[in-house]
Amino acid sequence: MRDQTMLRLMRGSSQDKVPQLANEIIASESAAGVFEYFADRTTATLLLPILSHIHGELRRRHGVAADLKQNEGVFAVWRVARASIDWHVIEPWLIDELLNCIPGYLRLLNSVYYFWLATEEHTRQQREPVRRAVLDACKTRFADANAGTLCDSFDPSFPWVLFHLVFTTDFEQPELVPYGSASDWAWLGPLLLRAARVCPLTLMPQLIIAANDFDTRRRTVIAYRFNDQFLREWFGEKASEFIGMVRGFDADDAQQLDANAIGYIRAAKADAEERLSTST
Amino acid sequence: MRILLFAFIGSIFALYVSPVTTHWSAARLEDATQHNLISLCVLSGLLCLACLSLIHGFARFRLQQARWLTYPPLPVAVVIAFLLAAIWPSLAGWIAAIPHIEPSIAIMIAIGYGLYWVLSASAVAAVHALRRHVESVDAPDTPTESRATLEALTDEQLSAWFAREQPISSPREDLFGFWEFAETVLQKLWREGNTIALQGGFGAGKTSFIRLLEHRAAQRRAPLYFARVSCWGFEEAIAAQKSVLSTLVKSTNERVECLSIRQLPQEYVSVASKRLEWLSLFSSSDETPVEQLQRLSPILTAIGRRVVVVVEDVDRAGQKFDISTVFALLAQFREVRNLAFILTISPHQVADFARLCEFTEFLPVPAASTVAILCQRIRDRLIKSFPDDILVDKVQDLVNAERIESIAALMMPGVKDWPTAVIQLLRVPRFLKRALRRFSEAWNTLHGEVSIDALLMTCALREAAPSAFSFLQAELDDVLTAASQTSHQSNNEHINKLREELKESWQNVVNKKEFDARPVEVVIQHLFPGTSFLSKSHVIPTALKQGPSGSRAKTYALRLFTERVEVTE
Repeated sequence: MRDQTMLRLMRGSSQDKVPQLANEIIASESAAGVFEYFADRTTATLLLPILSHIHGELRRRHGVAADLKQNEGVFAVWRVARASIDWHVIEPWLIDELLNCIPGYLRLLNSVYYFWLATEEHTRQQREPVRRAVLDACKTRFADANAGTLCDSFDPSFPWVLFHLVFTTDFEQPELVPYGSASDWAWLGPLLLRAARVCPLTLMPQLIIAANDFDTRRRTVIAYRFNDQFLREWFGEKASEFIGMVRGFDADDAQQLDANAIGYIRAAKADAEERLSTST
Repeated sequence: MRILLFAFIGSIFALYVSPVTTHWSAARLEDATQHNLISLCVLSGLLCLACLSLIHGFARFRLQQARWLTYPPLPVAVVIAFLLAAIWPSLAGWIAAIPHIEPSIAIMIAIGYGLYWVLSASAVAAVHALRRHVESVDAPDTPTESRATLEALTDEQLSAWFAREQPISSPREDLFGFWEFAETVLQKLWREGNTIALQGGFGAGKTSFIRLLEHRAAQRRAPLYFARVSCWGFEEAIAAQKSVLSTLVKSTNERVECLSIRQLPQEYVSVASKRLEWLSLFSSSDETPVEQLQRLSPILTAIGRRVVVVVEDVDRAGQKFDISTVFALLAQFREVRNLAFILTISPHQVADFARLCEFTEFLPVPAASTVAILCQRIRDRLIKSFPDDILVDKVQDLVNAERIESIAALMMPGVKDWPTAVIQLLRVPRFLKRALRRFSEAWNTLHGEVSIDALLMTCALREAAPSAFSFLQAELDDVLTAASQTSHQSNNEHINKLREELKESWQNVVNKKEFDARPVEVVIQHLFPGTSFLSKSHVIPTALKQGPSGSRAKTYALRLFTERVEVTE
């Protein structure tokens, strides 16, 4: 991309150029590189609107499967914004962006959260308002939603969405993740269990991955053991019903999943089989 | 005497040979025209005119050459020959007994030819005069020609000036003070016997100066005329000697009929090289080379002028070329009255100028301020020609940078800024013109895609120090790698080794002494910040955003080197 094309977009009359700039960045990694190279304090005001536009464009193009990783160009803008904008400015914008993903785009929500807050540079205090906003929005928007809305909020090809939403990628340091325990999100259990009957291929893999015990998750080989506390808090009396659904879930039907996910599902089925046979 | 000798020989031919050839030609023409008298007259008349025109056109007989008594032109010999042919039969009976041309016919031919010659030469002179008149009417009215000033030149005139590679010939194109210097040299030439060695490096404007000198001499109506000869490409000095003399004779022949010295180049070379050529059978072989050359003196005295032979490009001759042979010829020129010479030569040429020439003059070097103003004006014009471009890097004030150089030197001794270095590199007219031309052309493609100052630096390097530019081009990847390492990484063994290797390669380039290393190193360090390891030059570079530094260094380096926007890293 020519420097002048990018410079005119960057230095032109600000806001009306945002969609054009965002589209150029999405379209070409080299354009994103040029943007990053020329970005300075005069472009600071454009950064967050560009990112918002890119998020919107990703939602429009990829739907439930939207993820920042689908466009490398976005990271050029993200790097500049992270380095040049004060967190107090970012925080309200980030909350808005995350809430825009509820319902329908939880994979993108996790992705945006991950790049902005899931690093060691951020403290629990910084994460707290954002996590609280996300939890509250989910509660509000999913509580009265029908099963279809829940089904359409999870990417059927990526079964780690629910796990990342609840525990985040910092699950091994729970003290740093506000609202990151199973109990904080327990209200979601019955809703998902009900919706899983409508769209088992989408939600069963999400629930299976989320219900894996942390000890087995840490292993380098695929292993599975139900997290009893999770089952209790999320499903209560219906935990055995969930285990029965896991046993009945046919991994061969979930062809959209990668081999790793299928491995976990098969391991979960084996654990469910064992638990049910023991109980009988 | 020679004319009379030719007239005598011609008269014998006219007397006895012409009737035979006339009869033979008449028989052929009668056959061709089938004995039709009118056709015969027309055809023979046309043939005569065509033959005479051809001969005169080839021999370039001109009216202005005519010095009737001192150096009569060759056609006079023809006229005398036919007049003599008319007289001979009346002088001796045995001559009259042999079939010969009729005296009345011989007189008619002599008169007819004489008239033809005078009329045709007059017509040619009139046409030339008319052409000069038309040219002088068309030319702008410049009663007192003076040299150009930068302030008076428009941007278009400036562009036209550097767009031309050819040497200048008018003071209106002189920006470097050659016109005033020409007056100094002219005064020295005016005095008899002066010989001058004019020193100037490659592209310093030697040829331009000589042209301006000629112009000045013509303007001052100096009794001088110039014979320019170039030694470029001569493999053997003998050929160069011959070329010098041929040019001398040819330019003298423009002003006077030089029948007596037309064989001078061959004869001189023959005598000088002790070879007996067939031409020497007709010449006075006992003459020394100096005596041969002195045959020029009476002719030059006759026309009242002094010839200044300008010998150029001696330093560009072939490897076998023995320059001392040409110098020997020039030394002999000093023995010839009314003959002077200017030897234009590079300062690197090893020669004993003091023995050969009475004066050694050094061509003026363009003033640094002039170069700075030129570069700045061109740069400003280029920027203005693309008004929509957003230039990221601040352009440096070249004129002020040059002005404050002396103050800066006091504050930070040894530290040079890039404008001063670029100006120093471009204080050679040819380099300056080429760099500005390239700068303008490249900006048409690269406008807004590179720093304009980085482009100016690159153009200056490319034109004024091509071997330094080639080094950067060849070692670009390594230079960028070595330059991009920050201090904490500089201990890295690999990087240190790379820097050492690059430094060694650079020293090899510098050791060839093809350019002034100091300003080149300053420019390189400004263009590629972080390359201080290459030399000891102390520079405080400012990285240009659109220059070859930072994360897009290679993109900008390739744009600057290839002069294209789309580059593949």
